[in-house]
Amino acid sequence: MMHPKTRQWTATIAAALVLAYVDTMTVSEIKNFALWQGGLAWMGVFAVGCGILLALIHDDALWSAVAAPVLAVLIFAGVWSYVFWSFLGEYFSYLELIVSTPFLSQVLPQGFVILVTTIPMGLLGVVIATVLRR
Amino acid sequence: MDRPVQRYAYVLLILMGMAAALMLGRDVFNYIRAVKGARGLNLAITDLQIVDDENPRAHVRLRVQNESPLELDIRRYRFELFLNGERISGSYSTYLGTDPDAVDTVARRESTNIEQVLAPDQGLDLEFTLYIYPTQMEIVRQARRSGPMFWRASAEFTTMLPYSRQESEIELRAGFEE
Repeated sequence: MMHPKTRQWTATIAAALVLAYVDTMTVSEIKNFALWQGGLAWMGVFAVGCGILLALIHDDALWSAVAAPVLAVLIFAGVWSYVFWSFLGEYFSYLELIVSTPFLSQVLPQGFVILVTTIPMGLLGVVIATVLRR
Repeated sequence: MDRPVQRYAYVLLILMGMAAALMLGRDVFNYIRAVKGARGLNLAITDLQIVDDENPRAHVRLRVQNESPLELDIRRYRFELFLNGERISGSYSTYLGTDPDAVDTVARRESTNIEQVLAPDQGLDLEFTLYIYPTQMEIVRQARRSGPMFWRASAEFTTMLPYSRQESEIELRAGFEE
């Protein structure tokens, strides 16, 4: 039987990966090269869905519903740092790239949009699941 | 896990997470590959001749070469010609001097459609006769008298990159010393 903490963490990371994919396909130009394009509405829908699933999996879901979007933004930033490094790695070090203005001016505003959209929606999902369970 | 609904929710979320990670990796890889492929498009001026008579014009031959490992779908393009940093003419004003219906005061900024897929290592020659306005022709004459002439073509290619669902603009430059 899986330890509850392990289950909580793996579920949170899985939700973060889902949100990271939807976020990337919504706010970045990578969506133009993908089979599926997201959108702010989809970002909200998936955040609510992940919140519901997290609430069904364990009782302490409010924490996970906040942690998953934060992790998703970190994954999103990691993806873009890798993209920048792929394009400019021969000219700049990795550290120089992630503190550069082009990188920060892209990732910070988009990360902010992701957080203000997905955290409330994730919490809404938790509330919906909690109400339905009662 | 206590209840089936918890187990199903957990399995569903884990499966969604794994699928998302795989799709994210694939799409990011495709994006990087496509953008790097666009960098493989190169432009060169292979020939340039100026005709200085009552109807001044430039005969320009450009070569666009795909040096990327991907096929690049070029939809249309336009370019401008500069001499020592001064704009002399552009592909969208080509027929102002010969088309009787063309209005000289209206800059024609239409791109030229080519709809050409360039395979890796494939090149495409583009040949143009450009009309040169009298004021611009005077710049050419002055440059001829004063010294070296550095020509530059600045082109904008509209392409459909591999894996992309949207057209992209690629700006290329080429130099030519006369």
